[in-house]
Amino acid sequence: MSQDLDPLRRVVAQLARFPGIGERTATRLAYWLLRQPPETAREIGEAVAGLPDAMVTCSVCCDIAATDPCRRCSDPRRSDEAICVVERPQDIAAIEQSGGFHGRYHVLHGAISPLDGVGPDDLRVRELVARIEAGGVVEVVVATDPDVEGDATALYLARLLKPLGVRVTRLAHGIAVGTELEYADRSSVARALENRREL
Amino acid sequence: MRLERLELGDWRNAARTAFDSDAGVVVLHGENGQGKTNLLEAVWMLGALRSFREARVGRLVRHGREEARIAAVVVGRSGRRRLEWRWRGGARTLLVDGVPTRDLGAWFAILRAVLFCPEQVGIVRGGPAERRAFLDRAAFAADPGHLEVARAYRRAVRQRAALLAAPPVDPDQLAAWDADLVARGAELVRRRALAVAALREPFREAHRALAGAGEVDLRLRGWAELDAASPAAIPAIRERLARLLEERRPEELRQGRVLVGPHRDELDILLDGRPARVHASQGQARTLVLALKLAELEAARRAGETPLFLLDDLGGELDRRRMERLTRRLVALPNQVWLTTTDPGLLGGALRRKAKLLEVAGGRARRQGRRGGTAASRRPGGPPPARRA
Ligand SMILES: [Zn+2]
Repeated sequence: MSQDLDPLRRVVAQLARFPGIGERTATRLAYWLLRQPPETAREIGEAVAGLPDAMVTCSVCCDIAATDPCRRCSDPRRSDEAICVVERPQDIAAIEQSGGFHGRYHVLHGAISPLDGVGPDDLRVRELVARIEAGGVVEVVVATDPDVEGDATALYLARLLKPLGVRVTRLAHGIAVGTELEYADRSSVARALENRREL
Repeated sequence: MRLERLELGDWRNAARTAFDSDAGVVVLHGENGQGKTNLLEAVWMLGALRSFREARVGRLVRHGREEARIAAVVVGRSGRRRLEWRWRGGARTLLVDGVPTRDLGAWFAILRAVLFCPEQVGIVRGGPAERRAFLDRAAFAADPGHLEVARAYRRAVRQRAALLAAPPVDPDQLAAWDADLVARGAELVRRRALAVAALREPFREAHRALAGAGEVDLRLRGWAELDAASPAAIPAIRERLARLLEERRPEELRQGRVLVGPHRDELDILLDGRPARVHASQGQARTLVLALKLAELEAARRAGETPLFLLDDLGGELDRRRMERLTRRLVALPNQVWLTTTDPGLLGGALRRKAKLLEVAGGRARRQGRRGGTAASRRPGGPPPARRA
């Protein structure tokens, strides 16, 4: 479809590749773009085109960021004593918006799931262990999703990290089962943080 | 809870049909092949979100159509609610008062059902999986939260099985799945044990009333001494599951299978102290299943819930005396009862007086007027059947 010669149809086909965007929405977006001043399309196009080269994986927390180390890893006002572990980069925003956590983060990029062939070696677990072995960390708050895979990942991390002399805690349930952290509302995330329990 | 109106679109053999069901007992009668069980199946689809005859939902859509729809007006604790189930392109959509939802807990808080159909004689005479499924359904009838506990446990077992089936098995990861299985398994065992305790007395009582003879009992094998209501229950179950896992780990690793956990538990149904699975006749088994279903309703009632009671193909296989005893029970139930039968004459006067009789022909239900003759079930000039969002 990308070989299509009609430029409008080509844009529609490309936009429809986004998750959650169907042909109809893509068509509406494309026509909207045509009605805007030409800079709009150029600005959007340049921003999108530059994205893959502009972003790197932070070598400390494994978040996707513009710099390495990322803004949060180099922020001196944050506490080094606590690390909050999440499944996805987007989950950080949910924790940040709750206003209840002021430590550092670590992104696993998934959860353990033998059914999908995902084991600890496929996640950023070694990087997390290295951070704790480097010292200074008192508590690891595991904020993986409140589902079967998220719970097993939390139990795995607790077994692995507690012998290193850190407290390992888990967000309290209170976020509806099956809700991904990034979709949970602000006050329930705050409550889940406050009532976190020792693993 | 009571279902006051049912509307179908392209469900099984029904193009479009709708009827009021504002009665304590709804009797769907008609010749075989006219679609009375299809209508009951539609009620079950709303109350359980599955079919009792067809695992592949796509086949329930009327031949040549792409979309099927079942809607109902339900009156219960949360007032008058409209539930709608839609199937299109292999996907289900659920709407509560016109708003799409994925929250099954909210759906089942509005409508749940208990089913009796002839095939369920398998609860007594079939394999342990059928008895576990009955027990999980009974726990769910009293508390919809049981669904999520059972579902998550099954998922954890599948995950652990996938790990065991792909050696070499990382011992640290296995330990994490063990801990997960122990935690979820203990919660499931406790809930099942509580369900057995809640069913036992009503089961004995219902069986006595239906059969007139024979002592029955229920037992969750291996957990009989467990006091599930005690706060010490969970730690005790966890300890025992952890020990069993430890003992059988070498065997599990060798076989690459999950050999420990409540997905393998057995619910014993005893008739005069002996396992009914081998000792009950077909007729006794049917009475036992009916008594179990009545017990399920009673346990749910004591938990403050009144699910619908659906009975498919009533009459053919019960003798006259048992039928009389059953209909006496049905008349006294606080639950709304839906039943299908070829011969409403078998039901007895008391039940027929409480019932709304609907004759099913060609997939449609028609009201049979009490003063004789038939009339379309639609209420002319009445209030709108449901509020729409
Ligand atoms: Zn970073």
